[in-house]
Amino acid sequence: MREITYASAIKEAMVQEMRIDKDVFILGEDIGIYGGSFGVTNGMIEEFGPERVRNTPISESAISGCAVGVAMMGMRPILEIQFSDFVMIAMDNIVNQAAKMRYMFGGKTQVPMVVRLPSGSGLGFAAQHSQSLEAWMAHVPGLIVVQPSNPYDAKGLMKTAIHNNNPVIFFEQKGLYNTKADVPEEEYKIPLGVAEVKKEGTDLTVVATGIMVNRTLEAAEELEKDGNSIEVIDPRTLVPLDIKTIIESVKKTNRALVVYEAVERGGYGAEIASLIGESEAFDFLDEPVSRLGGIATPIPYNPKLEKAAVPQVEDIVKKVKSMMNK
Amino acid sequence: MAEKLLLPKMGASMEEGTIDNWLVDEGEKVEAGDPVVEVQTDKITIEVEAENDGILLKKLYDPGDIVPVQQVIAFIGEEGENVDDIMEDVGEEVSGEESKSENIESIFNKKLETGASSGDKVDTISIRRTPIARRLAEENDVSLEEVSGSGPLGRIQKRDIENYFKTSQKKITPLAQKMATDFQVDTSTIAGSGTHGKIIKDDIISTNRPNISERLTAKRVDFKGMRKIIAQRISDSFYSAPHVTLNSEVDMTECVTLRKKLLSVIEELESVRLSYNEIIVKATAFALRNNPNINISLKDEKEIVYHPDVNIGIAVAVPDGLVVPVLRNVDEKGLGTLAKEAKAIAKKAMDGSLTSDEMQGSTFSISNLGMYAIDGFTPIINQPNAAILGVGRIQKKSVIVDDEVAVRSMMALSLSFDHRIIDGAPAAQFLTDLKDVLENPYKLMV
Repeated sequence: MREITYASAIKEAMVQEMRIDKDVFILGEDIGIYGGSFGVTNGMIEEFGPERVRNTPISESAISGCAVGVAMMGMRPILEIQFSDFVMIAMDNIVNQAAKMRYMFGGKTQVPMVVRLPSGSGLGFAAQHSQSLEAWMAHVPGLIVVQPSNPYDAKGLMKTAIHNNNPVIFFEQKGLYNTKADVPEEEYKIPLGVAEVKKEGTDLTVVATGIMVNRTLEAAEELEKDGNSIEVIDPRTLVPLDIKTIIESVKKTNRALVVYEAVERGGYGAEIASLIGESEAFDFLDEPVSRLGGIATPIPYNPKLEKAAVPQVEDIVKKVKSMMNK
Repeated sequence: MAEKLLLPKMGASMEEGTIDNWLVDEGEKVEAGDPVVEVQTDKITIEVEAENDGILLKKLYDPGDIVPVQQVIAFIGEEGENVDDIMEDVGEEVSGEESKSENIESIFNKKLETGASSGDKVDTISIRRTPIARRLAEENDVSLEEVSGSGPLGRIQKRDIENYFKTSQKKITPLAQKMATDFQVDTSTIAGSGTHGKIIKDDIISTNRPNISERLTAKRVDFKGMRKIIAQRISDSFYSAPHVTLNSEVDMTECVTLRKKLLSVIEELESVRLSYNEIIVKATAFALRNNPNINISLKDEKEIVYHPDVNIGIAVAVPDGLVVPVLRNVDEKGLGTLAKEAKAIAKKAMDGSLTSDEMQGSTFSISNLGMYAIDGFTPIINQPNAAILGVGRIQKKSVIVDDEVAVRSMMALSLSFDHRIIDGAPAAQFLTDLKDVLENPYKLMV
């Protein structure tokens, strides 16, 4: 099988869908000739032309408002917000309009759109371009929230997102764009609400999201050397969330840690931790359910401080060891 | 206000009783008239009844404690009522007598001890443990109190429970362990049925190993109640009074004739059948009247009491024991009355309905084993009597009468007497007189 990057996997999914369905198109800032800030849409304008790969003014409000409108009229827009931090400007369209239309019109309309949000820290973009805001989105009923951690999942989930008739918020961790993995060229989809056990283990379950899945897998290898067997679960979609797989895992390992890049306080990992605590897994816990997230600070520009603000591999190792009482 | 339950005075001579068995537990409801406790007096077991409705709040004595009459033994009142204040009153009431106040003090101490220990009792819910540890402990009947925690702040973790399984010996009672060793039973294969899965005796027995049940059939009965009282009285008498037993054979032929003649007369008069026992009792009373130095008691090792009345105790076998009801003023009563009275007290003895008074006041006792194949024995004196007559069976024997062999109805008498206060000669005289009157029963008419 061929190896492609996370960015290419997302592009491939969009390209394949656009070839099949004329209603699917993309819009965003500098996504045409420039290929988008992270090069995800590179070459798409050549294949599909400026009608279906639409460069927009620098206005997330305009992009999102346009997308909601055309979606309601039957198109299936994929909009790229250059940095997920800018989604605030599109918030009214996404939260007040897109998320609610289907419900408020009693199902007579729907908003089949995908909002691509390059998110996260680690690339030196400083406080206004490095946030992880998935909890904001997951809080709003009517939005589907997806957070793939690898190229294979990114392609499969993008296809599912395009096919879904509801607004889907698609978080792409910027640091993952250049990660490579085996991705089949042919058609496949990954269903919403199905978590994946990335690594089986017996001593502790780590539920990690986004780029933290990769860091946790690395940490697990490190921990294995000391005889700690870590099970790593990637929920892949935050809304809907596959809590069942998580609960079964915790019942087996008796310990649960949730690792996420977003600020620990009020992050989506807190939601996962609560669900574990309230579940039947409670009677199997041998440790308090714990979280490991970013510290509550705007992401610093200084690379060392930036690294210190979000969980790194060694932080995960340390946290797991403390939970193992070692 | 809680009511006091007193130890009743059941007989004129009753001074104390032994708490035998509480029939009601503390906190249980009682109604007026319900038996609350069994008390052993020196003669019988009585049931003390509640005089009012309520809850048994407090027992002041344990089984085996000896309590003076009129002493408070329990409180009955309303649920939740505090008896501490009343207990103090009780303490004051008896403070005059040192031994009793000591008793109360010990009760208070006991109360304090139990109070303290219940406060110290570990509340298993408050033991720091993880949910999985609690779950495992519950599923495996492990008491968390017995597991030490290795987690933060001594929290019991899953691994602590697992270690406990590994290290803890299978729980077994010492008796069951001994049996398991004796009969080579592998205890690791047995599920214990005791608390927390402890292996108990019955678990070993249920393995049905050959010989186990055979060797375990010895019945064990608590040494208490009537048996203990009898034992105490018998050994007190036997070890304090030097016993001498005189034997004599009596020709009962005339008595046999007499009984035959009186049988129908008394039956018509009193509706009871005259037995030899009553004739012997009557003859004994006659002989005692003529030998007042036998009808005596040694009181407190200080004085010898010569009794004006002839009251004869009759040993009656009852299930699992022996009682000695008393026939009073036997010398003054006719055979008809005696027969009637003897049958009545024997029946009451068998029913267990004798009162304490009916078993007190004897001056001499008779133990009649004539219904068995017994010719003579050494009866033990029924204290405070000074002597006891043992009666054997009546049997036809060939004896020499007027230098000729004749068939006569013969009976053995055995007289045990307390040699401290009766010498051999007077005792022999008494037995000789008795033999004489039995061989010539018409002398009773004199």
